[in-house]
Amino acid sequence: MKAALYVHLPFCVKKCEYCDFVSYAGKLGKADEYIDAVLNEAKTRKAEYGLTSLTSAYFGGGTPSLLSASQFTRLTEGLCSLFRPEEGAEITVEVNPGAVCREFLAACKAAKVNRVSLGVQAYQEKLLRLLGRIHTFEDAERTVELIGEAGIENVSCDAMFALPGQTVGELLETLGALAELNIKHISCYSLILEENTPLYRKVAEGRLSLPDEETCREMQLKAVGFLQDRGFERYEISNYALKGFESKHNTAYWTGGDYLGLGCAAHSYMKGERFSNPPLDEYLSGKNKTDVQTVDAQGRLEETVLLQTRLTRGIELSAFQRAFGSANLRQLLRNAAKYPDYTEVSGDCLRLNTEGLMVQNALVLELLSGLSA
Amino acid sequence: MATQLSMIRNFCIIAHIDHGKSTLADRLLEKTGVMVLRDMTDQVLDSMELERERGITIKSKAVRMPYKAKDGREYELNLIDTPGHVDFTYEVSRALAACEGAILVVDATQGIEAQTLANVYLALDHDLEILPVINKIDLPSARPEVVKTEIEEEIGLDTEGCPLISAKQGVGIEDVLEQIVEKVPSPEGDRDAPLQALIFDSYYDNYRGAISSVRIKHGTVKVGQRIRMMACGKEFEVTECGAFLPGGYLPTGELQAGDVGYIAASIKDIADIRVGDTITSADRPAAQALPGYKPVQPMVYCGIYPADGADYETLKDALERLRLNDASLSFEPETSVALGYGFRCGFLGLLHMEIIQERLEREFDLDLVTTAPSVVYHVLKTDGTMVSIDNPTNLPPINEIARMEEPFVDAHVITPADYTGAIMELCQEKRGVFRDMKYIDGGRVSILYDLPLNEVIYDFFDTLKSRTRGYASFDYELKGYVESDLVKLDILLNGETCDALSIIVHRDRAYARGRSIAEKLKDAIPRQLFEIPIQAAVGGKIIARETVKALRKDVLAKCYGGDITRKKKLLEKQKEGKKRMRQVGSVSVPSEAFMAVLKMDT
Repeated sequence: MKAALYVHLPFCVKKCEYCDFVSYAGKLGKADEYIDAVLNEAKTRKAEYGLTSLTSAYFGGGTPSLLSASQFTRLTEGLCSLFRPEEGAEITVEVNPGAVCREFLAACKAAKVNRVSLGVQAYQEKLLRLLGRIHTFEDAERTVELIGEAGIENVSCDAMFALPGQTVGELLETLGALAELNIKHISCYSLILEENTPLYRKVAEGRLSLPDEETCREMQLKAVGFLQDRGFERYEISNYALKGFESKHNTAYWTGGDYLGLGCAAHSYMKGERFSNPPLDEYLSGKNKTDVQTVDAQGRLEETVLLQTRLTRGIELSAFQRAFGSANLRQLLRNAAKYPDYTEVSGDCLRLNTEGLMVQNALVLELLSGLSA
Repeated sequence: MATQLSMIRNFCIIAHIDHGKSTLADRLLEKTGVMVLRDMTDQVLDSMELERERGITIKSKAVRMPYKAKDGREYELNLIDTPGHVDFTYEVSRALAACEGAILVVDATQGIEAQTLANVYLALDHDLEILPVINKIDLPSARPEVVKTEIEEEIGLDTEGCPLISAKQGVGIEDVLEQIVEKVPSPEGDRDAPLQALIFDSYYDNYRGAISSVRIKHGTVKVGQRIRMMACGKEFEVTECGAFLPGGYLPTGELQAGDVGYIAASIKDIADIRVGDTITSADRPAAQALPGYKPVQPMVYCGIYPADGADYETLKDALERLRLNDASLSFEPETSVALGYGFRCGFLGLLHMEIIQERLEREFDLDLVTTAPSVVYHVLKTDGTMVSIDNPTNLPPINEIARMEEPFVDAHVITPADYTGAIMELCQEKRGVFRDMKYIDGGRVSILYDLPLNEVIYDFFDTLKSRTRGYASFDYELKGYVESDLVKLDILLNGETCDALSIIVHRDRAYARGRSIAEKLKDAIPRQLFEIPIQAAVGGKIIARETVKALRKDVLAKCYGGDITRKKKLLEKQKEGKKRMRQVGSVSVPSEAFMAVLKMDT
């Protein structure tokens, strides 16, 4: 079989203020041991699923670019000896601005990496500091240049909004600066305060305050228009791309494709099962695929609506009907018809408009009402 | 074997709440050796968890205590523990009718309170010998002499030799026992006359069926005898009878005039044993029943619905189980457009209602939605007929109503004089009609008002407590029906009337209540995908309006491989939340919203 591959590299120089991902500062010394564990896990899963080729690959983190060039090469060569990327497969590596060297990028290029995702987050120094980022916007600019020089042309940048103290103007300043760079893709998403993060505590204690609901709405709306004006079309709630540069790997997540996640805390969806790995220490001791959940027909139906309504393309109705039957399709369209201000059917797709995407969470529940597979 | 009448004393203990009735009962049991100290929990006779927790007695209970008095003779003392709340006034009156004497417990720090007086009047109605006892003399703020004067002047009881006790510390308990022997008259009755046994309580035992607590007034009852319930006419065969022990039975095979005890007769339905009914012999029936029987009349009604519709059967089961033990609880199925299938339940009063709700939730692990309590209104229709309405939804159309009447109560408040103004203001606000006020000793005032019951059940008691910092005491009794300008207040959500939120209210109060309900609903109903107007209306005219604004944005976060499980969990939570909501037209209303309407204003 084939699938998308995700590899989690959990090492960081410092944890960001808002981050509740499984990532560790000061554990880079375990990188070699970790690579061995990932390759071991890869072998196990290959045997288990008969997985031979990859539709896409994504090295995320953490900060993958903290690995040395030789470590990264050992990892990718090991994986390539097990799985063959399909012709032209999208292979992405996450990089932090300022935290990458030419050698690493050369190693990426050699490993057929053709896309880099860069966590820029904001233009303004004060916001970067508030987020606990350890780079400046200039670092990002230089990194984009370095990536280009390494021969990797497809670059994506992340930007965050709804940050404490952030204004709509500042968000647009960030997006403007990003659009000036030679990049093809922008992820722009709202900060989610996760419990057990320093930022959460600061807000809870009243030392910082988030922008109000109307400001957040304005940020979202303005961002959509602003990016569209610069050629970046919104194709998912928080993703924008120049034509043809939509992320293939991430699209697999939203369209129910199989994906294998390797590494600590990585999640997989393989042959109707969702499973995940434990945190670093347990993972290094050889434990993986510890939490397995089977997705039944009802689960697939709900995931389809939950995930595909995130896409501006929407839910493909003919595919939906094939998978879940015409009664469910009729009910879905009936449900959608109750919310004409938020939904539209065009061609073969039921999609949420900009206002609908704004309240996607609540809408999903309404769209699912009375559907049963 | 039968104890001579002259050696029996039947008595009860009456008191205002918290004056120490149950603690004194504990001490009497201990002193007479019926209970050994190490076996005792506090408030032995309050066997329900809820009774202990709230410090109130809900059901009457009796217990037999042998007592060797100072005169060297062995007496049989029957203590009947009575409920201590206005909701149960009828039950109390039946328990009192089973006694010859009453110990009146008065708190040495607080003196006479509204329920003290109400209970004294009840006891006097039954010609009981009243023995005042002043309790809590161990407290630093005790002022027994002042309280004695109060008792003498307010009630007119002789306090010469009145025991000064501390039930908590076990001081003066023997004095109380001696006075019972000395002052409470022994029962009278003809043991050879036809049987007349007064039922003063009933409850359900899993092995014996429905059991009557009785006082034998005349005659004798034996195992195997056929008995007849005089009010309901049913006949049974006695399977067991005897005396009460704390938490148990002492079968004696026979009860005679003067005795207090229990009768079991394989009775399945507790409704066959009505409190106040007379048991007689089927073969040799008494010429007439004992006086004072009244069929149970619920004063307050509300709808009780399962929060999760799937729990309907469990709720039905639970209500049936509670009714086994509580003949005063009535319920019948009803449907609400908003709430689905549930029950219209009738209660003796607000406390009774609260207790039943709490027991349903606690003992049967049910999640409930209850509607605003309603009293019973009389609707006189234009065609000359009269209907009783306990559910606002059933109110006939306006053009068929000639006039309406609502129940009024005699309300009696005792309060420190400082709060007189506040209380009169409150009663006035509640459409009360002033009747009388007089000063009693200790700087306190006794105030009498006529109050509409529907104001009393709304938030009167809570407001009274808060405006008098808990110092005022309150008691009421149904007085009768009075013509009143009543209207039905409807609540519309997104243009649709929500039947479960309708209430009947006096026209003058409609505007304020409507506004307050709309405000509370605004906070209780979560924002949804569309704007929700909340309107309060009387007869089609909108009198208040609030709006729940439409949801403007929810999470706009990223969602990649690892976030999907999280998103699905969130979806499950949303579904769970929605299941607990009621659909009123297009609007999802959380269960809490129906309850929020009941909360008091402040």
